Amino acid sequence: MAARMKPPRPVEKINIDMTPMIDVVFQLLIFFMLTLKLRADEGDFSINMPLGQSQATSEQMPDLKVRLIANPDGTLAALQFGRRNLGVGDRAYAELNRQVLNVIGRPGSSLSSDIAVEIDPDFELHYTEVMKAITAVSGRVDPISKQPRKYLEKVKFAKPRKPKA
Amino acid sequence: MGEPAKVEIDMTPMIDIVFQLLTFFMVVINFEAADADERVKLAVSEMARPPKVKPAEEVMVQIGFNRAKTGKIKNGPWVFYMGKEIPPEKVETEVLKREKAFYRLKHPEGEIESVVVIRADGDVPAGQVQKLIEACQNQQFTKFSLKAMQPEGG
Repeated sequence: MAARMKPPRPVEKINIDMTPMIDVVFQLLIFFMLTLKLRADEGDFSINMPLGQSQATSEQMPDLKVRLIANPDGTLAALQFGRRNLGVGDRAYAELNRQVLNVIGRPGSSLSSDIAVEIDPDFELHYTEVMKAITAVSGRVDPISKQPRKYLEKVKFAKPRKPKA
Repeated sequence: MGEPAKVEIDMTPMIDIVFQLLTFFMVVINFEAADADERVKLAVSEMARPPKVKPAEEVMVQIGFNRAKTGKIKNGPWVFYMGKEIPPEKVETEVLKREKAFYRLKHPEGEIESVVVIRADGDVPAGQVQKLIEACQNQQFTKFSLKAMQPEGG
């Protein structure tokens, strides 16, 4: 007996109601658009300051000292590395960077992790100058590879000085 | 006259674009930066890099000024903490003691491993930041992370 083929059913078109999905997607889109903040990335410097070591302690290697003297308005009056006066401005920080490299020999040497640097700013000095000093002692960015080359890893602060005024 | 023809709009291209936009915003959004107070104008440093390993626990302390739209300082410095403006000399009692107590609830013993993330405005006196670090040390916080802004395009 020949199999009897059923006649094909007409395909029913199912209409999906897209409205709720579009509603939700637009809500999400508006949320993300409003909360979006395009800004430069933040980086950080990690500092370990164990208790009672805000000032120089008797470690194996003596600390390098960076002294930042402020004008009354908070700008930099003088930058000193040890007893050497390096002046002011970007050239002073470039010189500080060079001097630190002289001390450690080459980036990433064993001295990089052994030697600590103590930053000693005047109270009034703008923090941005401290950050420039930390940047200078931390290393430099290779102009070709754009990767940081580390000089000193241990940075600490001296005890805060009293305000002059 | 016959019935008006039902016009069906093809939604597919619109949904495609909307999903593209949605994906873009979801990828770009940075929820971590939402904690950062916009009043704090960080100093710029090319050597400051995002940490490779995020600390398990951290306390964020932000110090900065209220500024006019022109950027001129109106008042401060203040420590911005949970929507409040706290004078820097009160940060130990009003912020750090609370954070320490909170940490001790979870870890009653041992050293405090929590990292204090300091977001300081570039115009804040350096001495204020040092005093802040000293106050943290008084509460047994010994690990710090100093935030700086990476240069544009850096």
